[in-house]
Amino acid sequence: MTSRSKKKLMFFLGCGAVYLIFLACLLEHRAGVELVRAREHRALENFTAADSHYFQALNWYLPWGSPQTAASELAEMAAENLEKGAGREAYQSLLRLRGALLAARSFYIPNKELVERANNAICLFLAAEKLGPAASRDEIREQAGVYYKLYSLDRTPGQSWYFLGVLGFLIWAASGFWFVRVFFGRPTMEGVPVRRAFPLKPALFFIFGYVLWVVAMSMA
Amino acid sequence: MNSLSEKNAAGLNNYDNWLLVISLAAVVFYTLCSTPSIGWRDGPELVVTASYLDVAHPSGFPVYNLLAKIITWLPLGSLSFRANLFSALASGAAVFFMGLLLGKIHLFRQAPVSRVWLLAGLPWFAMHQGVWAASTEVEVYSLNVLFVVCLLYCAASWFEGRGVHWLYFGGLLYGFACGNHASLSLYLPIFLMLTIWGKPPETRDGSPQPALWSRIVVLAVIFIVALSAYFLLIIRSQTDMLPVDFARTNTLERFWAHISDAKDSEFHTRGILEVKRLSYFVSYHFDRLTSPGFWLGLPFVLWGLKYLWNNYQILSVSLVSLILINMGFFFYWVDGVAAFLPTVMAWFLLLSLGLGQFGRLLEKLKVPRMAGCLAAVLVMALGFGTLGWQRLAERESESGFFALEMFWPDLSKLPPEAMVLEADSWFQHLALQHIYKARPDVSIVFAPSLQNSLYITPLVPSKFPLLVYPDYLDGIGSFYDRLSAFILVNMEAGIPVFFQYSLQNSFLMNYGEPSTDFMWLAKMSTDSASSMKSVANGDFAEYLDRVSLYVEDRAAAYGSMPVKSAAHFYHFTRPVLELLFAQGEHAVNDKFMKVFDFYFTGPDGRLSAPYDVSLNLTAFKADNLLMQNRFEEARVQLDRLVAADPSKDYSYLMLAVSYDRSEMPEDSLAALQKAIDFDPYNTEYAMKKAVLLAKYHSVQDGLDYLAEASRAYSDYGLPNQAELLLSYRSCLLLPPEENVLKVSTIDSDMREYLGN
Repeated sequence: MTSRSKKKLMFFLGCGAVYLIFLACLLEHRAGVELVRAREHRALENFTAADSHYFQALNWYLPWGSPQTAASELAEMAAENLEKGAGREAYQSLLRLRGALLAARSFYIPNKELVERANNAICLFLAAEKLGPAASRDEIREQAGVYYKLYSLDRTPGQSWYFLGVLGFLIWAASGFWFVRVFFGRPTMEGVPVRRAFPLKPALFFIFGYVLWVVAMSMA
Repeated sequence: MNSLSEKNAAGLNNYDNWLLVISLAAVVFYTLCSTPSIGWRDGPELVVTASYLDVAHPSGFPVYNLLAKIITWLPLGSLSFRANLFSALASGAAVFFMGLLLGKIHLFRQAPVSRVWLLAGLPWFAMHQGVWAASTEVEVYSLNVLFVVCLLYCAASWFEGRGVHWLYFGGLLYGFACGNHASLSLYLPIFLMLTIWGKPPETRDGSPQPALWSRIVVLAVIFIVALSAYFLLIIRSQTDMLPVDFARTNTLERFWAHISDAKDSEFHTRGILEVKRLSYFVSYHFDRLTSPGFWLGLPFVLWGLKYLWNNYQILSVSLVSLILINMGFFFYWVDGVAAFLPTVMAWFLLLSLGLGQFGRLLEKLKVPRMAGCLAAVLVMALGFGTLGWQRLAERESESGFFALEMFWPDLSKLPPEAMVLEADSWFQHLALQHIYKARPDVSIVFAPSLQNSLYITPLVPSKFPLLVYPDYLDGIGSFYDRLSAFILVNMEAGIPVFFQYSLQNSFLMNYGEPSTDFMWLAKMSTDSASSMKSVANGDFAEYLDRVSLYVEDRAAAYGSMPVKSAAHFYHFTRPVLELLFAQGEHAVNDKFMKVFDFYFTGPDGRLSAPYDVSLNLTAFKADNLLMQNRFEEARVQLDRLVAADPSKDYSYLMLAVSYDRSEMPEDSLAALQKAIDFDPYNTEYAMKKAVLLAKYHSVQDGLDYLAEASRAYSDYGLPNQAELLLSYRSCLLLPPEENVLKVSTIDSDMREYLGN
């Protein structure tokens, strides 16, 4: 790679880094605004509105700062409502908390332990709703176990195969261009058609990428 | 000129610097305006398919999903927000490559002022309403534009004599581009024209170009290799439990039907058949796509076209062909500007070339270099400053979390294990279920895909583990019978079944006479579709309060409610209002209307929306008044509508409804006939007329009318619509006493849940 190309590459990487910093600041600002609104509504016991704003704060997810505060405060609010016997309000808050954290997943699920606790509470609530007030505790727990199988984090797919599939696609696409460049690019001797050697490396990368893509997409 | 001025001028006319600044500014603008979570259209579905590398609606968009998947791994913001950012980045890249392309085809490299003027059009392109909208929400169109620009760049490189490998790069890229949006395959004639008739010079190193036949063979192979990205659909459909898997493309036949969008093929070609409506659609889209800016830019566009014709004839023909194909294919059946983005891109490309020529003219007229460059910079700044600022304000007030807050209560308030038969808001509910994982115990079943013979998928029980699906259902041949039996079996098992929409109005393909069971279910679903939202929400007043709160939150800062949001707001709260009104809760309805009025008219009572928008508001008001049985007041609104735009057929339909409810049959039929005169092949109008005839004349009159209309549709080349009308006869024949639920009524089940 020429030094000019290296400089260009470094420059573009630098732009990318600056963009990410800008994005993080934007998310923190917006999450902070929603967090303030959520606290105002919570103080007035408008739990529905507070739910919405905590939910929206978490939409601007960051692994630090206001979104994390929003997650813990929403969980706290749900716990307080449960203490007061307001189970339905707590259930709605927990649905929001769980939903927002799962929507923020990337190559990992954020605040996993919070999500698990919310899962357990939600499943119990649903079971009680389903079976009615006459159901025993054991019956409710058994029914909750049925719902837990659906709510469990095990049903959220892991990302390894997806990563390999996308990597495979990028490899075969890039090596396609590489192959074309090497095989159909400038001949080595000006003006004289030359017998070009078969570009083995690009071809091998192409095949490797294609196979990786197909296999990974079958497994994901 | 002193050295400082020269230095300043050199800095000012540095092409690369300006291109970078413009592209980065565009990306920043788009990021600031990006929809924070789910939106209204196809976006929610694409977020799900990108996250799961799933099969989206035709043609499947495999390349889009593969590329968008990358950004879903960024641990910032929600998955939906990241997918929106992907559009922003794609558009920013499109702007950047447009600049590179312009720099390549503009030959006056020694003319610095001209080169800066070349870029002056790019901010206007970046902030164009259609480009901006596609860049701030999840859609494939921004990536589409990027691909088209890159293809043109490859063509230009080849014509520059940089080697035939640039042509082959283009072939590879074209294959991938078709994997993003299949409509790009329509431009194959342009690609062939470039290959066959394009006569690039010999390569810079003197080597000859390959023979035509070898170019075509190599291109075909390369194109097909890249197009094999579509195999993703077959591969992924083999796996179970994909959230969308729109058509279960696990056989070659279904795969082909999916990528060729066979289900809508008649719809796509109808424009060609309906030649007499051509002039209407051309004028409709012309009015919508042109503005004062259009006329201001037209001379520069023509100037740019002239320059391109003189220097790159084949490219100029390609651009014009692109515009014609893009407009010609989409103009009939698409309302949004997004589908016309290739045309917008071509327009601004030519505009920029024209501005480049203008810059050259300034140099010929010996305008000082600094002044010439500054003028160009001012034009760029105006683009961002005026349009950009407007867009920023629009996004802030437009939607925000609106869609998310609208649809979240639908799922969060459902009873355990509910099944919802969906249509309108399937994509939004899909996103809530699979991105937010709102209610894994609830099953969202997309009914329309079950109705299309191309998309018959078994109602896979593993996808909906809590639903009942006995083996014998697979043995039922008639689709209608199978669907009816499936619904009934689950109702009998105590699964709360919710109809989000009307089964009756959604089937497009008929295969056999619908069974009585199905027609009964369809009729019941019509009646109870509107109940779904209200019942699912439980506390209706709370639901309205929450939505109103959101509206107030946003509108407080801006003093008015943007129409698009208001339209959705009204559409989705309407069923709640209907039920409330039926229950005698007039006060809530009045409150809602006050909120509605206030945020459309503003605190001083004056209508704040533009004229044509005010017609929609009037229609909403009329609809609400009809709902409240305030027919006289509704007719006042409707008369205003008709007077303002006598050619709007839907106004006559609403008039017909108001007369019908007022028991004025002849006026009702006359109004409906006017609607039919303006839109003679509208099945909704035809069905409505049949119902009115059956009600006021005789059932036989209604049946005869349906048969006659069906024949007319068939003669016109609309066989599916003709079948639909024939099947509607069953609805007329269904006697009221058949409308008795075979199991306990859904409504009573719903009310039991309400009581909890």
